[in-house]
Amino acid sequence: MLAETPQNGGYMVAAYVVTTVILGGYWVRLNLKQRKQENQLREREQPKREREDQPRER
Amino acid sequence: MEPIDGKADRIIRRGLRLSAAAFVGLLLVYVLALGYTPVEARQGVAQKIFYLHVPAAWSALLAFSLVGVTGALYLWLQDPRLDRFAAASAEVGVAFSAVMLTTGPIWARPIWGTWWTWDARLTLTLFLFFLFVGYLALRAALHDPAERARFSAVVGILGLLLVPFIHLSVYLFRTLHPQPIVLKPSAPSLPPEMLRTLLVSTLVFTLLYAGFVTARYGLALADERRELEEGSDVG
Repeated sequence: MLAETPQNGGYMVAAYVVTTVILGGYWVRLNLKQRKQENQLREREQPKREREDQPRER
Repeated sequence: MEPIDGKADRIIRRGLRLSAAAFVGLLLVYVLALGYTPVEARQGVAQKIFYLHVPAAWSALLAFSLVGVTGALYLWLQDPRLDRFAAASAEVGVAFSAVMLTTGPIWARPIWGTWWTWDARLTLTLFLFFLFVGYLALRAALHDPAERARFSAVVGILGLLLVPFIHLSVYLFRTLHPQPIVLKPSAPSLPPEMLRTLLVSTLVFTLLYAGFVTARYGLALADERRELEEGSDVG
């Protein structure tokens, strides 16, 4: 007699959700880091550009 | 939007685009695994965790192997690009290990009747995960770039030595963990639909690894350039 196929779909769903959360979370983290670096650069570049834009005194 | 720095910015964007494309591939893997592959009669649908667990393990072991290889090459050539790659690969490897170490117990609970068992394969894999968490902690603690690269290269090589041992552990020790069904001397012992889905998933996870590492490498490059600039501004 064939054994009945076990009903364990909840475990499968949990594994797929966990995988999506870990890998998706890492991708979001990389995106946030990129944005943070861009903002830092913009903040550092601004005073430099302002200095360059000011007319030089004779 | 203003670029961080020409080269680093291009690398980061390329990596993020590649990983975004790989996420579309991951969606296809989910569709294939849930809709195309048959349900295994004895294990039920929980067997479909295999299509994530095995490729995640592959990507993690690939990542850690490359950390060791590039670490060894760094000790020989002293090229900072190798160290930067090793650091990126270690971080991405830890992310894939997290997938492997969570999906494994989720599969084990309904199939083995327990979340975890301290057998050789599982214990060594957990040890490898902690070794690379330590690798990242070591990098964060050391501030001299040359010293950081040298010390972490040695840890990376130790991790590389563990990888073949982990693969062979199922032959060397009595274990509950299944034997390899694809990476073995004889032909893969899987029905064609399952094998196809597994191969597609492995390809997608490898692309995801490549995308993540590329983006992480670019971010490290941008960080280094910023630190250099700040140093020269102060000087």
